[in-house]
This record gives sequence, C-alpha cells and structure tokens, in this order.
Amino acid sequence: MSEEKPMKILHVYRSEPSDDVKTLVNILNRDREAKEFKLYLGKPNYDMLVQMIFDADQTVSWW
Amino acid sequence: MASKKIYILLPNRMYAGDGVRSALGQAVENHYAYPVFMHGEYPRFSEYVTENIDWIKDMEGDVLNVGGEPPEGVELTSLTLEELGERLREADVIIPYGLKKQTKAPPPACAD
Repeated sequence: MSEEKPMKILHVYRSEPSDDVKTLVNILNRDREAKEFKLYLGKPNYDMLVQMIFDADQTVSWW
Repeated sequence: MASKKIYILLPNRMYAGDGVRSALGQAVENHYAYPVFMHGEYPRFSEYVTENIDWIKDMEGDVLNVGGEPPEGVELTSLTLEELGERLREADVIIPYGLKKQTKAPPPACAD
C-alpha cells in the first residue's frame, strides 16, 4: 500500500516576511514539504525559481 | 473546471476594494472566493463595495475579517490569524493582494 506523498508548497517572498506572514507560513507548512525563495536578497536566480514553481504543488507569492 | 477555494489577503485598504471586486469576479466564475480584510484595514464601504460583499456571500463565498472591528452596517466573518491559517490549508489558491501598508504615514491630504 503506497503512502500519500506530502504536498509540496513553495513560498516566494518579495520582502522580509512580517510576523503575521511567518505565523501563516508555519501553519501552512505543517505536515508538508516546504521550500522558500527570497526575491529581496541579492540577485535572484529566476531560472531556479521557475523550476521550483514547476516542482511545487502550490506556490504562494507573499508581499 | 472544478471549483476552487480562493483566498485573497488584503492588508492594505488601498487595495481592499479591488480585492473584493476580484473575489466577486472569481465567484461569478463558479469558484469559492474569500477576500480577507487584515489588521482592521477596511476599504471605503460604499454602496458599491457593500453590494459586492453581499453578492460574494450569495454565491457561497464569504468575506473574512482578521483584526479590528468592522464598521457598523457591514457583516464580516471575524476570525483569528491562526484560524485563518487553518482555513488557508484547505485553499487551492492563496493571493496576497496588492502591496503591504506603507511604513511611513502619508500626508493628511492622502490619508484616505
């Protein structure tokens, strides 16, 4: 019997996440495979971002 | 196409009216739409916005409120940030909408 795979969720941050965003993200990540991409740091690798979006089941683009 | 649960998060009243209108558009397309007013940031509740809110509710969506007391005459469903998080776990699409509220106070002429 195969186990159900956890949902893959990607969080993209346009700016430093606030405490409220961190709270929501922590709840959303529970029992899930979560990744994050910070657009506000350095020079973002957009090729990698596109690949991460395709790999994820759900993407949330925060402020 | 299967109906999706769509949450539109609105932390800045500058975009709240647009967010409500966008949610109504999704409801018209047979999705379950839930605009969320956050931090007591409410739009101008004109008759137009109030009608949009009523239409969203009529189409099996809801209009949610996290933080702050909404003005009289508008019925919103209040919930905590943690309750919102639990509801977002069931969402198909989560849209943090518009821009965050600016940290610098606007000049009085632009305050509204």
